[in-house]
Amino acid sequence: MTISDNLSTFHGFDVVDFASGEPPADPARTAVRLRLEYEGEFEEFADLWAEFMGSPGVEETQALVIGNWANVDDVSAPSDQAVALIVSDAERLPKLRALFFGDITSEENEISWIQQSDVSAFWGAFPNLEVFGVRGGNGLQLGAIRHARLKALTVEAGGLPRTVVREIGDADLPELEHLEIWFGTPDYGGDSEPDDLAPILDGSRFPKLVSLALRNCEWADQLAAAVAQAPILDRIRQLDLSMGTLGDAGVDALVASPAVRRLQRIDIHHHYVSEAGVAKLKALGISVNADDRQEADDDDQSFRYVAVSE
Amino acid sequence: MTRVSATSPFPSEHTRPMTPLGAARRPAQAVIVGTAGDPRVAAYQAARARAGLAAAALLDYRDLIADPEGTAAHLRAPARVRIESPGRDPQVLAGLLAHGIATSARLGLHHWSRDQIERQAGERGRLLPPRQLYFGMARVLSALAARARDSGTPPAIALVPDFATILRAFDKTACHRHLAAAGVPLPRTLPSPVASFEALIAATRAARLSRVFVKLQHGSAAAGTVALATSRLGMSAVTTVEQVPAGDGIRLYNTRSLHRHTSPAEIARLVDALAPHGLHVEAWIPKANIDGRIVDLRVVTVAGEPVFRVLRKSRHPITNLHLGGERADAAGLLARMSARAVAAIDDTCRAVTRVMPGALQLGIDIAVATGLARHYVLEVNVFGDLLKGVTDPRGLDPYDVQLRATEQAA
Repeated sequence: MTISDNLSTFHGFDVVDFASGEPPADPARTAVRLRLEYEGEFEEFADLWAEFMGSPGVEETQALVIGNWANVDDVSAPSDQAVALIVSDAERLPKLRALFFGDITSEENEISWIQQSDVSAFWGAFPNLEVFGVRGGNGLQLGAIRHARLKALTVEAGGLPRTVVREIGDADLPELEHLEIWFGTPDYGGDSEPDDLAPILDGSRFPKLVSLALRNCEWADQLAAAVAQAPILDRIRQLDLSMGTLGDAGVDALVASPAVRRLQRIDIHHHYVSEAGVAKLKALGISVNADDRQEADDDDQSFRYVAVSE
Repeated sequence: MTRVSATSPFPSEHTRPMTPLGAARRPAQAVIVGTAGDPRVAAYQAARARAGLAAAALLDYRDLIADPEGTAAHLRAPARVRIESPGRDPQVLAGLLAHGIATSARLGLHHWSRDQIERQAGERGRLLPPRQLYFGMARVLSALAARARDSGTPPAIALVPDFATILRAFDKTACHRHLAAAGVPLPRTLPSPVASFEALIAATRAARLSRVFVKLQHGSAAAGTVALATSRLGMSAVTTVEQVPAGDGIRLYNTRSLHRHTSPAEIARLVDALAPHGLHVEAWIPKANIDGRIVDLRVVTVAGEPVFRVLRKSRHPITNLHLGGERADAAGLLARMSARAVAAIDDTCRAVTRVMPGALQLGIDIAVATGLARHYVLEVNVFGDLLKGVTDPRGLDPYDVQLRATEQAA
């Protein structure tokens, strides 16, 4: 799948692209996005970062979105330099509560070519962080995740290595309310299996978890079956299995689970479930998003058309 | 039919002396050059009817193709001749291809023989050699241009768009060069010609452009377009082109669905199959996105002013309307942009019309870059005003607006 959207909102704030020389956006209401653009003012992320850190009011920044850190010359440049720059200025961003690292669309780079790195320095550098999101599974390391305040963790990828899923399973996040993982496909390095999720599903982690999103999964039916019997279901109120290959088998597993009925909401948008399957889910009496049904042969149809002179 | 030369007398014009005053007394005949049955002709005639005007006389492409000079000779001055797209009729396209043989052969350029045209041009979805079509259009329209030139000084027969403007719009490289000279914001291009996949890769490296749109220099409607990304980690090509091996090589088809290739060998085969038709390669501008869709803008100007703005949305990089991109009100995009950025787009459109004055209307495709501050002109279409269901605030469609502009100019 491709990601066509840049974030337009983040942590309740509107996202505004940083423009040097322009009056700074109100940090109480906007999230700033920094990225290298085609024919943009900056060719190197370090220069863009320096400009941002030198801008008036930067210390008031509450929400930050880091977009494309690579220039057109080398779209697969790893993110480690950007991580280091951000961490080195952490003390000058005392109010930072929300950080998204890797807001890059399919127009800017292939998601599988985004080269991430070890981002674990963020945990220690930003003790007030409540929301953290990252996109790009290649080379991603979350490290030993320990954070006293983090409430939301989102990891998006076209192919997420199992090592990352295990790091999440080992995480110590006592305040975490929302956990979101995109698994992706094996073609792009998404090699996790249901067992990798055991520590997340068995309820031993994340005592305050309310919302669990396991998305973009090629083995969504197996995933649904594993989740349907998992102790974590007794804790959460919202379950998201969207953007994957969920079919009737997965829905049957969910419908058979008593704990699923106690959820407030289940989101399976972009799925391969039959109308009957969707009806079964809706019959549970909980809020269901089953939009965007996919046809299995969508990608194989090729309609030939006649060229028209415009 | 005897071939009428440029200097032979036309009886219809010599019944009385042709003084400027005499010519002005006779109202200009409204003519449309088009293909009978084509939706564009029908839409234009419908607009004329709404305006209380008689239908324009149809000068059919079929006749023009059968005998360019003879058909052109039938044009009586004074006349205002609207030139429309030839449309999709396979016979018409085959006829244009046939007219493109001579120039292609003279320049030693790849083209289809008469035999190939007869056997293959009618095949549904087949990608027809666009440069050959362009040469064919040039050949038949040149007869009209000559007729117009011979109708006096100033000419009493006006072609709209004029001959030079049509040719320019159909040659992406020439158009890009022309607009660049006028300071219009454009994506960077690779130097022409790009003769092969190998040459393409070398050129992208030399230009430090890892993401490019490979287009057919004389193509339209996104036919033959490849969105190509390269990096240390590999390559990705997304295209509307379907390749089918056949006895005489690889046949190319335009499809509605996108094909994605990641193997360098496959991508090489694709590009090498397109290259003989003439390529125009430009930077792939990362486009703005709304609600998970990639968007760009089609602005239709009439008499130099932007009048219609249509947003095109797509899940994938090629946003052409034929490929399942939705048409949507442009307000959604423009509302997210600063007033300055929006005004800049209108100014660019006016600048384009100023340097392409030979058309009454232009369909200008614009990419707004992610960041919503900068924009780039991707393409200028002279037959891009068939926008079904699109009206201006007065409820007028693009044809209505053009007719009003024409009346005002008369």
